[in-house]
Amino acid sequence: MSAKELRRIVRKFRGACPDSEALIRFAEDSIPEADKSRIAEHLLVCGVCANDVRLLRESQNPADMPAQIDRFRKREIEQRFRRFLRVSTDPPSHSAGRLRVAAVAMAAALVLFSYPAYLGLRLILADAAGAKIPSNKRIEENTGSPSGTEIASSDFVRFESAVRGADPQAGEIVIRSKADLLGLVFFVPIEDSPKAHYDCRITRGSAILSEFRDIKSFDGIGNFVLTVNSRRLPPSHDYRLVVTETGKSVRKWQFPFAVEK
Amino acid sequence: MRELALTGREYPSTAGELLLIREALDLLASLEEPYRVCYLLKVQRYSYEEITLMTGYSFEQVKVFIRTAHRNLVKRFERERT
Repeated sequence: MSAKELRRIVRKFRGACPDSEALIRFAEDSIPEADKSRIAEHLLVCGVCANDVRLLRESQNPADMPAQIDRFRKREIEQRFRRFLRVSTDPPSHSAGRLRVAAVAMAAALVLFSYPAYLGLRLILADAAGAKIPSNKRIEENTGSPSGTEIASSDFVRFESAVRGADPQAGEIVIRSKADLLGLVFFVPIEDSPKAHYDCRITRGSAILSEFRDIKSFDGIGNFVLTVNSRRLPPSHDYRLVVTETGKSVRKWQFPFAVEK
Repeated sequence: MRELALTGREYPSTAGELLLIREALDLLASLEEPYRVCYLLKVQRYSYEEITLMTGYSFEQVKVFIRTAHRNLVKRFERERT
């Protein structure tokens, strides 16, 4: 086997990345055995997920943290990341108790009502059929939120139909932020009856960087909030947020965007 | 030899490929975590600067991790051939 062949195998064998919640459970060693071996194998061939698990584990063992990670307050950042991932990917469960419900409510209120970007989306809803697409370059950053969390919100353009790609008039969405977490705010008209499921993935070229399955962080109309670790998104102009609705039929929306530091 | 949980994957399709993958996973598993993480990110076509941002390691560390991982893997290939 040559180094070239190893690279080929790594690319081919990697497959889809596990969702963030699965990685968190893996890092905490609280995942079922069957999933554990599957994720362990994936981590052997996926640097992005392996790096996430490494950071999550280091956040649990601060004594093992390299000095430069300590300098970046990695532990604090990762704790926030974990908390927000739970909020953005999971519905509140009864076992999690009131704190979790409060966290969901706080995050939703923070992101949905604090940003002018969200107000832009509300304007569309007034005339959903032929509404003009608002500025898609509006990036809001809030580093002094009441919760102390550094989070930037990016407002994506809505797409009118499942077949339509990026609006040629809309230009490119560019995210410029140094925040630890990015709150990606976007709108897709949801199918409420029968109830549909929504999966999101962030891709760069042909690579899948993050997957969020059956996300619950949206309102009754279709305003979604997705919170992602900004470290997963190094500067590039080749990103795409892909939303898949599985209900009566399967519909897809794609939101191309760029990240600049 | 490592046991693979290959449920639900299309790949590999032949016994030969399965053997090759097992060998590859064993080689990667033999690398220490920082070396493996940085090497894999490089294989996934991230730049040194991007890997520095993602991992929190310094630029120099990232370079050392990737080059050492590559060197070790090449050495192991040669050892296995002989």
